[in-house]
Amino acid sequence: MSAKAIHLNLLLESERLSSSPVRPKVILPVAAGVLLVAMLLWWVFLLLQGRLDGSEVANLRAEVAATDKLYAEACKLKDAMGAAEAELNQCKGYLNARRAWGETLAAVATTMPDGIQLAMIEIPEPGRQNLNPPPGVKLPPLLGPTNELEAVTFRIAGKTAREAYVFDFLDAVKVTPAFTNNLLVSRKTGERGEASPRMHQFGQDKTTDEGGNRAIVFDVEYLTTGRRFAP
Amino acid sequence: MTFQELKDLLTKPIGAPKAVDVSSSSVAATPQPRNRALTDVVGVELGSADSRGCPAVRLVKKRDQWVVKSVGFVPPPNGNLPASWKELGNQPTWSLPSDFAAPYAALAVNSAEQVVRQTTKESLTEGGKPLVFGAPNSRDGLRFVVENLGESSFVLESGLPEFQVLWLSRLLPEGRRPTAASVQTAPAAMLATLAEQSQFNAADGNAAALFVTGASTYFVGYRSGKPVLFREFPGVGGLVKMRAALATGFGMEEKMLDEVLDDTLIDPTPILSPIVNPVLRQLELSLDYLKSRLGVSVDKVFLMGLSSGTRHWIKMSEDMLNVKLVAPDLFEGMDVSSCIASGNDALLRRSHQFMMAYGAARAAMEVAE
Repeated sequence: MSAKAIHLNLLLESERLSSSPVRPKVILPVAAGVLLVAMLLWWVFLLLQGRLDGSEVANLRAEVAATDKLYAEACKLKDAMGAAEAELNQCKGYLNARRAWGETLAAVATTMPDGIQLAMIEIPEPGRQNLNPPPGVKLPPLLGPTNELEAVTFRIAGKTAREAYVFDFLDAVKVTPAFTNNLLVSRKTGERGEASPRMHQFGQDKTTDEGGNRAIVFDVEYLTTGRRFAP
Repeated sequence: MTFQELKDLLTKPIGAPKAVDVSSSSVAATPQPRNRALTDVVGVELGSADSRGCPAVRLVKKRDQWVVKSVGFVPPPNGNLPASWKELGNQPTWSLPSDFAAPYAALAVNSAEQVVRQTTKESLTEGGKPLVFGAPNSRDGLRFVVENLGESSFVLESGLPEFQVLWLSRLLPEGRRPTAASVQTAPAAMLATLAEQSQFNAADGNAAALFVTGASTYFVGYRSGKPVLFREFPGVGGLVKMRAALATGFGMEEKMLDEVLDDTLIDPTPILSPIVNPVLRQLELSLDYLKSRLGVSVDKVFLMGLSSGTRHWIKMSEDMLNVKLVAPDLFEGMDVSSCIASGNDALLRRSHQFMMAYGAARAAMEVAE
């Protein structure tokens, strides 16, 4: 066991210095300085980042604006294309909707009995369309079909001295391809629409000839399969 | 730490130290015990006459084992101890070699202006200022510490001029190992050298010691390990005077004296006697006083401070006074393996040349009550 050593220390506690390089009066200012510098760097970074983001936003906005313009132009072109396409389809429709009457009309000449005097061959124009004009406003009628399918009829009228000639003609129509290809030659009423043929008139004429004889007049209308305005 | 303390710490000026008035009661009212013992201290003797430099000992306490980590001589600081306040502005800083870079340093200072003496309480309390024991006091520009000498009215006073203490406190700069934890006068530091001596402790701390320092020779009587008598032998001088006389007597350089004094074939008694005899006479008087007045009876006297020639002193003491002198190994019982490994075993053989340095370190590592 050792004795207690006497220590006559002239140094005050307040005069004792720390040998540690890490001292509060060094570390605290250094830490504060480092923190300040770090904060300044962070703010500078945020500032630069903000400016960068701002310029990026501006670029994107310009890009969007340019895209809008292009989009508007594209829409315009698309609309124009649509209109042109519609016009083209309408023309094609008309093209495809053409009906060839040459054979039918030629067949009339060959099948019409001699005892019949033709008074009329008519393919009536479809009614003019007037698409719901506002009340009080008179609009000129529009041309062209409003539906894809247009009803077309074939009307033939004439005079004859004998009823049998008419029946012969009607029978000939039923079996002649030039007619059956174009006309609905034997459809009865109720059978998917009106009857065809439909006799508008078949009887004695109101007037007489020079000999006082009354001729027999007929007016028959045939339905057709119509015109399909499909491109 | 409060905000005010932190503020004071951060605004404390660094640079030329200001004079500290330790006389106010708020500063010196109570002793300043250290709450935690230091375990790694380098003791350095400043102002020694040794041409090799400042003796230094790095002492480490590991659990119950004392370890002498390094011994040697370090280059002195680049500047002298100031002799006045005017010289205080030239404050050098001192770096110790890495072997001695302990966290703390204990400085034992030899100063021409030092005061180390046995005196009375009454003489120190002239002027009515209260005296504080174990902590620095101030009087007339002198900073001193006072310790009781037994139960008598005598006290041991050790002091240095205020400006010298301030200079020393800043010598070892902050933030670098070591910094000063203790500043003592060299004669005060030497008092702690016996604390670990087995023969001293075996006698329950009742002993007498003869300390031969560079400038003077001192006699210290201990009772229960504490000094009860402190005397500076008048007219005797110290090692500097003795070695100079021996060198003249032998007609050789001083650096060869150690070898000559330890040489068994050479009898230096005729040359040594005129030097040693006055010391022995004073020793006799002191031992008588110690025994008759203070009741301390010793069978041996510790001879401290001589690096060579102790056997001659021992013989002469026995012949003249029938008083047994013992010159113990200063590092007795301590682990000195690292010093041996460093190749300093030659220095260890003359351990007393590190007496002040060791005493300073040992005293600084004492735990305050």
